[in-house]
Amino acid sequence: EKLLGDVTTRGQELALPLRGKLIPSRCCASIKVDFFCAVMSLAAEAFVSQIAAAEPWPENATLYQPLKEDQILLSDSASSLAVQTFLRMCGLPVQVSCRANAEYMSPSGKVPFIHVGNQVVSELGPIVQFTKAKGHALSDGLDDVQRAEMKAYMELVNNMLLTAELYIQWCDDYTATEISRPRYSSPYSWPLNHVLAYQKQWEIRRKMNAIGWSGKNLEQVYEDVSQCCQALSQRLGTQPYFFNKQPTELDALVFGHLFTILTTQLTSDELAEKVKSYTNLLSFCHRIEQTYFKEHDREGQFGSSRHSKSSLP
Amino acid sequence: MAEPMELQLLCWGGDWDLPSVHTDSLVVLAYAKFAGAKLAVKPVDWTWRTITASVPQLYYEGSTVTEPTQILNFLRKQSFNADYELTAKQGADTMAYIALLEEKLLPALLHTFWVDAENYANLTRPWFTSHSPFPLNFFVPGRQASLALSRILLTKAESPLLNITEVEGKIYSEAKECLNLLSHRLGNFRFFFGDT
Repeated sequence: EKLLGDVTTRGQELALPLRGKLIPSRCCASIKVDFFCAVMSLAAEAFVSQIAAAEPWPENATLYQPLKEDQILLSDSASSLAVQTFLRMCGLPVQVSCRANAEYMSPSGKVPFIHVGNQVVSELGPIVQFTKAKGHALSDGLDDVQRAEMKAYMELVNNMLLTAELYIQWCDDYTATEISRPRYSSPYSWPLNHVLAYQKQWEIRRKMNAIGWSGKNLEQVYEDVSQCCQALSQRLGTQPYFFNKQPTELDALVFGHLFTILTTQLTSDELAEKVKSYTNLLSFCHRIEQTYFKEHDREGQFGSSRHSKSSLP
Repeated sequence: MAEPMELQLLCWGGDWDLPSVHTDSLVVLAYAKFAGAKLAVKPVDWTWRTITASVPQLYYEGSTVTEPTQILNFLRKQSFNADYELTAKQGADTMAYIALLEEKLLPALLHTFWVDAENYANLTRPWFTSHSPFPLNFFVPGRQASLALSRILLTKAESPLLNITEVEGKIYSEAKECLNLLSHRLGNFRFFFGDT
């Protein structure tokens, strides 16, 4: 394709940053580039990595998430579990601290976030980069094609599973009224609890609208989840992890989401049923739970609460 | 006899050597070419459908399908299947790469066409204005531009990135990464899963 040919050469790292300017030529629109924007953000990233690399991983690293018993919702719980799994896979100790205002403390507004030394990093993507700068990485053994696949599958999980979780929590009226709004606003008193809950719901619904999910009904969302699980199941096949014998951040992310879906009680069990119909995904979750969580045998970690069951069925 | 059996596709017209200027319509047209489905293409330019219909839209024997993913599913059910020879794992890979494109490359595309001031004023808006009927040509480009901007801001602009220039930096670096990943995956083949 002409466009790709102009901007990159096959198999080589792209050296040009992009700030597009479209000029329709006789043949096709071509993009003229100039440096400014991309260089600024790359410089910021390099600076952060340099600071991160300066110190080893401390003992008192903390992970913050909303209150586990009363406040945390399905999507946040899934993201938090994914990060915890990733850190365990790297062998990095981290303490989990539950705070009611975790979302507001986070630098990007998303939970979970980790506080390491004097830096605060939120969300799985940046956390993976941060740990890589400190010298711990799970995906170093992958070649370029595999790394491309891994990133693509992580986007699939974020795009489909996470969006579906958000949809079910906030756009489905019954779930929103019975579960999401009461839980989200539980630490606050009247009238703040109503204001915050409705504000969050409005924000999520706007986002669903923008990406075109507001036209979907619940059945279609369940169908999408099912297709996503089918893709993951086919990719996993009979292997222990997604990329052969070594776990990667993709395994952590998939485990986080699937385990949370399987162990959280919602208004209906249909979501969990969709996941359960893929047996290799179920055994994948069991295996990771056994390997990384049971050995520490922490009662409080997966203690049963009103919202979640304690272990896999 | 031939008329009701034909698949009819509504989409935006073409320019600059492309069959259609609209990305989603191009997706459907390319798939139809690969699968060997004959589509009667009806461009919506210069009709009122520019603002009433959601493009692309497929008509077949009275049923209507919108959205590229739904249209591709529909074509597969009608046995126009370009993915027939893929293994299960490769089929799963297609879903993953589509998600990657949507998440990383699409915001940059939307930005280049609809949000960047120079491009919008010199290229996109004149084209869409000239291809829309009289009263609509005041509304159509503006509406598409505001939809694109709101999509970018709602999905990509999070707390530390408060103005549009920082968001731009982020989406372009993500697009660059996406293109690199696709380039690695493609390697030296003609297509992603072999030569057909």
